[in-house]
Amino acid sequence: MFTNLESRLSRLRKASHLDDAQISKFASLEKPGTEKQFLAFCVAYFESVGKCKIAEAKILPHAGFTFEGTVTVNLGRAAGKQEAPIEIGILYDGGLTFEWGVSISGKQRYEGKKTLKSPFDLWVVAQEIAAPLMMGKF
Amino acid sequence: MFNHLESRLNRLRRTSHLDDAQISKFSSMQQFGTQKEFLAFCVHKFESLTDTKIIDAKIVGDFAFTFKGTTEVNHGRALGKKEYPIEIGLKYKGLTFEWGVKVGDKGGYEGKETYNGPFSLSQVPTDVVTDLMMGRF
Repeated sequence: MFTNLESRLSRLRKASHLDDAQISKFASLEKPGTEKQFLAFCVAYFESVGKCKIAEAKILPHAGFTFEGTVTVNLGRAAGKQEAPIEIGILYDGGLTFEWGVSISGKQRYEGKKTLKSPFDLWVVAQEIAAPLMMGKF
Repeated sequence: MFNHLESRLNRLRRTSHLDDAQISKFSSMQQFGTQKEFLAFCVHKFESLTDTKIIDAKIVGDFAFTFKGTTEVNHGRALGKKEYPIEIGLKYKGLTFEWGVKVGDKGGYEGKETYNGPFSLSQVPTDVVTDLMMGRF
């Protein structure tokens, strides 16, 4: 097909078709994979998986995101569940390395760092940040 | 907020709020910014930016995409437009994308670009078809 890439592509070939509905769905998106979409996805993910209610989400210029809201913390059978303020910060290096920190009730609870193999794995960042919240391990 | 990142975050802080509609829109997506979304966006861009109709779009392995279809080439007022088969191959490693475009027996071209960040990939399909749009093949 084209000189330099043909053999490499041939080795990798497998089918993964789109249907018309998928194409038309994305035809309405001006741009996929923008910072604002990522911000919205993180909010949705933190709220659905991480037991959070995000009240404010911000894009930091070219380099990061912050989220503020509340999280439901389980204090055991006696004390029950309680809502606590949560802050989540995400920074990236302009490439594929992301760092994050999470504080609950003003105390730093955990940090993390991940270098993605692919720019199409951004959703993994939200997943990794939310995992300790989902498990209550912080 | 957290020791290592606090000062950097403070230096960078600015507002950019989301509305509820934007959040609910993305809450229905299981994953964000996937290869399949990118594939669909490329099909849409190729078709909207050029006189191309993509009939087959594939994710190839973990790091590549192929597109096949037809494209119209303008041969001038006397000869008019003629339709040719088109094949587009696109592969990436990290943020570096390489592509090749073949237009029937008319020729083709290759290109390569490293993008500034994972949120700049919407530029890729436009870069892929720039030479096609300009008739440079």
